[in-house]
Amino acid sequence: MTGVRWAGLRGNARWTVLSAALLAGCGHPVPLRQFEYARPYDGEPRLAAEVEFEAGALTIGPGRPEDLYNMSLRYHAGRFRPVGTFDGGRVTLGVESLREGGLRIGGRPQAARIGFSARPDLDLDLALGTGEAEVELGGLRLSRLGLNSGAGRVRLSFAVPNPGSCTEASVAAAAGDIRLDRIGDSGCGTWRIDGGVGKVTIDLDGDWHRDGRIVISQGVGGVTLIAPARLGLRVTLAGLLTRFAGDRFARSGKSYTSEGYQEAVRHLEVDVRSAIGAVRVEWR
Amino acid sequence: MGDRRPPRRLVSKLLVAAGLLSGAASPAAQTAPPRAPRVELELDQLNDPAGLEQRLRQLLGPSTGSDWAVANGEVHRGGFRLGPGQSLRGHLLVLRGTADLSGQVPGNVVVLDGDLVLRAGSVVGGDALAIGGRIREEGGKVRGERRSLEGAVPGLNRSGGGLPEGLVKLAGLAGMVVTITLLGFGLVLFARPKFEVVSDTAAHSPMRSLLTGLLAQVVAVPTAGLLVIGLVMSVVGILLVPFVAITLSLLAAAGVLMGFLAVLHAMGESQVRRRMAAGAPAGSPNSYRYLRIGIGSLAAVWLVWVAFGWVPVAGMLVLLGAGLATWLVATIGLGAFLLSRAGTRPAFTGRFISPEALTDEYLWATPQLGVSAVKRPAGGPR
Repeated sequence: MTGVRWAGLRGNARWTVLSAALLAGCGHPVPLRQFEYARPYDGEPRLAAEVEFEAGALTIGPGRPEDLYNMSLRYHAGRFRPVGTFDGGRVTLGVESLREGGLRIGGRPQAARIGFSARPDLDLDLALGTGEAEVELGGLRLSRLGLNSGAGRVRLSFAVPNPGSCTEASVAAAAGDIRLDRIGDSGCGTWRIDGGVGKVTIDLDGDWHRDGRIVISQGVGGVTLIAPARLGLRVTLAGLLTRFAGDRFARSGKSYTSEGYQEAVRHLEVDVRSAIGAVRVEWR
Repeated sequence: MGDRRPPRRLVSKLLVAAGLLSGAASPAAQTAPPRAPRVELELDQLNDPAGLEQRLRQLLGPSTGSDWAVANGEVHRGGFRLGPGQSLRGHLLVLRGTADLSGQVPGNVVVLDGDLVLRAGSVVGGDALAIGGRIREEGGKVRGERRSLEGAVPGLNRSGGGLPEGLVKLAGLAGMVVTITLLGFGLVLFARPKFEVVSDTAAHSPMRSLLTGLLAQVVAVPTAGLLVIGLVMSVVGILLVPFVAITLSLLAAAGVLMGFLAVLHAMGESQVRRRMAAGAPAGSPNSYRYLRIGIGSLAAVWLVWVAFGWVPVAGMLVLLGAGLATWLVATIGLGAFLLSRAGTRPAFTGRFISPEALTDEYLWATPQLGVSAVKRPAGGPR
């Protein structure tokens, strides 16, 4: 029986090898292209920026002082096309899909580095697909932030306080981990975080100019809050299967208030709506 | 009765004479050299560098000798140098060469297949775009936006001609065929009995398989959802949710794939048996061959799309037809996979053939590999 089986396979070997050779001949790496785009700063008081990046690694941070914005993009030509348009104070950056299918063989991943001027007020919208995003907005005059991610890892940080005033920031990720660092320096009074499925870690450190509010909606996964001891923190939970873990908290129903909440200079209300998962607070 | 039609020889002579006369009437048309076609370009908007590049390369390919012109600007081929203190009017397009600027250009500057070098004192009043090159700022200034696009152009060779779209589709089809073939050969090699049971189920009960496959597609997602909800509600089962989700996904994928290949196997087997029954040479009947023929048949449908997919309406219809055929095969396969319980239940296969059906014709056309030989009846002639 085995002999017959192998004999049949041998009989078709020539055809198989021919097909494999055809595949090898057809399979070529998707060409990567480099696109550079910049616009000089010309005294613009504000800039609305929209970044669309469907796949790959994205890095955003402060740019060259003489530029309003700049982008260095490595993209898969044939599947994506670069986007860089400026119209009436609004810039759109990134790549858009050509909706071409196919199999990518080898090659480096798609990547973009975008820099913004620290001089105008920045209204920033990020629409990300899959991949990794490192967003450092420290020092930029952020007035509003909206970040939407499909699947992947998102890290958003503020190494330097925001010199401007931010009304609201929202971060949403369908799947994957979100990490927010030093959001106290963001200058945003309200944060809305939609974690979907994955882990959410929020470092609440930074220079809070006013009391803040964070609304976290998490489907499945854990939420970790890293809080400085000087901050007054009240965590309110909603959800059937949400657990809370944290020291130095007084419980009242589904609300957990930190010790010294009343005496703290800055107060932070955190509402967590989670289907399944745990909320953990670590004091620093 | 005389024939009133003019003789053919006379008609042809008249036609030749008329042609000569018409040529003689416009001697200039014969003596003047053919005029190169004029290519007009707009460089006011540089928002879409990839699109502009495509257009430029398309124009550059067949019409190298054309007379190019830029609205409100000028064109230079093979490099351009603007000295200090010099200035141009309007836009500047440089084709296949470096633009070395020390003077002023009030409009936009586009360079194709070359660098844009901005020396000290140079000023570009509008936007700057380097396609297939870089913008080198060596003391100069661009008042507008700066763009550069480097790297190999997909689908274009050095001469600017495009790789035919059909070839790309053909390569994709070849890749799919090879992948499916290798998977099928693997199934035959390592799970032949169960695979053949699924294949026979599809061959003997195609309608039941189709209905079962349809039903499975309808109820698959709600059933999986209910299962996950049930696990979540049981609290203890929450930990199992990821494993169940992964297992269900793998099972579904395995079912569809095995069923799909089994139907192709059945198609190939049916074709080989028909040829054998007709007395035509059909080669060695084995599962690898059946699979090869089945996959080839389906690939032929997609090949029609590769060949004629570009036709405006018919191409879409062919695509729909090929997609429908593939979906039907997958649905029947899934149904056969479920009916035969992944090939463990041969009740639907009709494998147990009644002795009356075992005629000489059947046995001649049917390979009896794996079927144990019938023993001679005891007491028979020796």
